[in-house]
Amino acid sequence: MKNIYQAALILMVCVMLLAGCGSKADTTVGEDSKIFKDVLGREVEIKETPKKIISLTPAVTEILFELGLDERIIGVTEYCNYPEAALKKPKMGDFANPNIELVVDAEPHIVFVAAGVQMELIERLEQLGITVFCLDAESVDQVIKNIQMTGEIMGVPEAAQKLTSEMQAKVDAVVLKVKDQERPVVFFEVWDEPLMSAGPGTFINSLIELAGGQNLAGDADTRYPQLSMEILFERDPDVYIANDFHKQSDIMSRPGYENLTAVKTGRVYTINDDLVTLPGPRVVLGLEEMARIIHPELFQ
Amino acid sequence: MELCKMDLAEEAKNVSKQINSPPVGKIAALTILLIFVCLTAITIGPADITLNQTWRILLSQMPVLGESITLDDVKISQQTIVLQIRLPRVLLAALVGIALAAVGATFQGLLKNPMADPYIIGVSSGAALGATIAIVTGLSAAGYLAVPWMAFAGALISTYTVYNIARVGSRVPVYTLLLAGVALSAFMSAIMSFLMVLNSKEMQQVVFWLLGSFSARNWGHVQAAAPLIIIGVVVINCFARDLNIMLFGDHTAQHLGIDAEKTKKLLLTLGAFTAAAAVSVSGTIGFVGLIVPHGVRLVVGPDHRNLMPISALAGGIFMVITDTFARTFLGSMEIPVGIITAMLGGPFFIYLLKRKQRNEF
Repeated sequence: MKNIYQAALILMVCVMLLAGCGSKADTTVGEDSKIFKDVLGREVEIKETPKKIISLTPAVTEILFELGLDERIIGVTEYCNYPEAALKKPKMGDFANPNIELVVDAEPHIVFVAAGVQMELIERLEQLGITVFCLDAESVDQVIKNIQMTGEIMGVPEAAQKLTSEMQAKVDAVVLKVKDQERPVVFFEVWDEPLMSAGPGTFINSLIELAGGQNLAGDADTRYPQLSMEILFERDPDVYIANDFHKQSDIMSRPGYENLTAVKTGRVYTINDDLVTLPGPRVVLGLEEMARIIHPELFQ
Repeated sequence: MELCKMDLAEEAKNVSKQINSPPVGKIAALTILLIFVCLTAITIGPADITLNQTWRILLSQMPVLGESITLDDVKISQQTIVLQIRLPRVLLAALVGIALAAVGATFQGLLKNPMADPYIIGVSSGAALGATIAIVTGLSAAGYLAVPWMAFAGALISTYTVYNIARVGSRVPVYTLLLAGVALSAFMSAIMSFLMVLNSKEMQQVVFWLLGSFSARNWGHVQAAAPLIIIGVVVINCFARDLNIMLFGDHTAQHLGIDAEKTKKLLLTLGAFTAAAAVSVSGTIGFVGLIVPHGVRLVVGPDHRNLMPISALAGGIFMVITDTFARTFLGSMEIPVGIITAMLGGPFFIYLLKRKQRNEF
């Protein structure tokens, strides 16, 4: 019984010690500060134009470089590999699990994150007194809005405007050309084992539609459905697109694939998946590439 | 003949040693080692903070000493790193290590099975399923403690179910408990995998949680887990003597004055709560709860009055060391700590095993 009392005493001491720890960063709203809303609907106060930026998502890294803000970037992730200059920036860990200590040590004015696996990070970074802004997109329109927002936050709205109007013009050009054309059935292979494609609500789906195609997996229930080979053969797409990890010849020589129309007519293509998954400025290149693949007769 | 007499004399001496009170000296030494390891771990990290600066930052938080420490050359960000990132993380690692090792030792004694670990009665699969549900339904956006709470609930529900499956009237036979745990774990893992397949976008988050990690843990996690872990481990240690007796079997224990069923239920409940608290804040870190008690047993023997406190402290030390390794080994990237515990612990345990075998022959 004596042990129980000792236990209770130790417990009380520990609880008292712990209760004293932990603190919250205090917030004061200045007069110059502006409020911006990020893609999660969070209202983020930006006190003054940020001079030290950390980007924890490759898409935003590309946007920042494209807007000419690369000098202000003090940290990127291990996956930020475009443009080449990004490889020289200090690394803050990888995409799924950035190194919080390095981020705090760099004393950034703003940190950009993506939605999804990085969302838990947001609360953690804010507790440590860091301004966090979430930018993510599943459609080309949203990407353009994000670029515009980034320009305004960073104090370079004109550069952003120039970039977005160029992008919009290219998108409009593609959409116009494919407007009344027949839509070939397109299968985009996100992964081969298990066979996975991109369904409704994904970037890839919207790019296929914009480029004048019809997504084979466009009626799926989930965003990245795992398909059985049967569905692939039953629906027999006109065009087969895969990630450029694979070689066209490897895909065409897969067992059973010789029966697919796309293989028989040689319409199997590979594409750099960064162009069709990263919600950044290169998405327009992805769209143009898709359009060339789906409607080769219209685009040279 | 003479050799036999000498052996008997040795045995008699050992027995009398065992009747004595727990090894306060060893516990004190290990506690000091634990504190030392924790303090060292706090000074290690990718950010460039000198030993002197770290010490001053820590001391400045002390109630009386703090006023006389100057922190002029220390940036706010560095203070934040030491006090808000490294300190809670190291404390959490120590707590989780202590919890897992203590519960592992308890279950190994209670279930009389050397393969028992804190997860065996359904704690890890229940917690994993709870965490998966939280992540997949988007609850995790409700706050950083949403996933831990769901994991905790999942672990407790799972353990309660296992307990009820195994229960016969008011008694809990140990072998059915183990089997029920294994069966329910398999079932829950299947549900979890199914949920992951349906929600492949969140799969990455779930897998990360499963690998177990202390990254991005803060004082909130420490405050959530610490009370339960501390109460649990301390009270479990009070039953060390009873565990010794229960090793002889339920009937013998009953005759020796221990209420076997009541003690079993109490220890299972405490163990489940403590393990659930540990798993909910750190994910399913394997190996610590299984191997640390075995390693300690090889060194100090099976008497639970030694084994329990020393396992707990050794678990804490082990966890802090492996976590420090996990977050510094690859530079800016972190390795999930569960990988390191297995990589370091496995060979070390084999070494201990070989040493014991050599001493016996």
